[in-house]
Amino acid sequence: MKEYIAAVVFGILLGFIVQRSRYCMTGAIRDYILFGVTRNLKITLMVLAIITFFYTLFLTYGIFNPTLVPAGWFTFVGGVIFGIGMALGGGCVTSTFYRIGEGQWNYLVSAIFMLVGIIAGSALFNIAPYAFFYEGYTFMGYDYGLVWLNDLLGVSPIVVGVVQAAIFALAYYKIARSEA
Amino acid sequence: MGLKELIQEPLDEKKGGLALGIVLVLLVIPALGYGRAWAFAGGLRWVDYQLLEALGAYSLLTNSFWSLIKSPMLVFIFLVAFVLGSFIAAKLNDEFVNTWDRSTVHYQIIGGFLMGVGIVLITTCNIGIFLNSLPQLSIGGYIAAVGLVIGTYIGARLYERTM
Repeated sequence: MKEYIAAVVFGILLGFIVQRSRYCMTGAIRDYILFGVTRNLKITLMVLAIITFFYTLFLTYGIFNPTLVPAGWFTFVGGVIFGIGMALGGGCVTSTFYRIGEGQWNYLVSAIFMLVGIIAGSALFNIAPYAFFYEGYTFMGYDYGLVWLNDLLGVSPIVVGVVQAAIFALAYYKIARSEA
Repeated sequence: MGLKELIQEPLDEKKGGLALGIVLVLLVIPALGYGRAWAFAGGLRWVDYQLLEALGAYSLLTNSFWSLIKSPMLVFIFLVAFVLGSFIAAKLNDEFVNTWDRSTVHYQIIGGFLMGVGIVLITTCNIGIFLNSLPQLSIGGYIAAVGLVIGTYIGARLYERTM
């Protein structure tokens, strides 16, 4: 029960903040590449600097379970397909849903076709023997390709996390300074 | 800054980034109840589970990997609450627009569909890659992130050309 209450409270809070800050990750990438507009990119970099530090700290002390994302060439292809989709659709899953909350009903069409796309994608990629991640699939010797950079380097997550957080923070300050 | 300003002023990039960062740190702390990082794809998968289960084709959506992913219904509730939060923020600030922009619907059909297909391959959405897997140093996250940047570039160019 506690987790459902937390899901509701955090969900409302996050929806509120994203709507008030007009945060859009599609915009972060697209606007920077096409127009050199950095607003959403700066938000992304700041968030990444903060959460990289804390997430790797928490992972180091085993405070929460890491998210499982398999690795392989299909991960790259999936990223490209999703990226094309979010640029064409005018927003990723998150910004699609905050716009629905704002009453931009055409984004409901995006949401419905996401559901259709998941079923179509599953029919194509999810069923053995065509599945990319199935029982017995390994990438670099790891089951399902579930591997973390700190494992490959043989150090604890926080060591890599501090460096990665610093890179994101530095990128943020470089962009902010160049505009000041 | 008072609560009223906090609710009504649009958040600039510094305040927005800081607020988002703090909430996303709190989100993963198990003692606070949710205990997992931000992603919405699981919530969409849960809706598809319900649809396909009703049609007797549940097995289409699942395999040995997906069985490792726990309680997607929780993510669906999180997603609905997120829409509610955005609705409250928009209503409080007279930004609830209630519009139907027909001119972009064909992009939303193609875009939504491609995002859905992409979700199956990367097992999450772009937030699940950038604001969840990347700060956890996941190799799959890094690979997908490169693909997402390239895909967004291609998609944005396509959008420009076909507008």
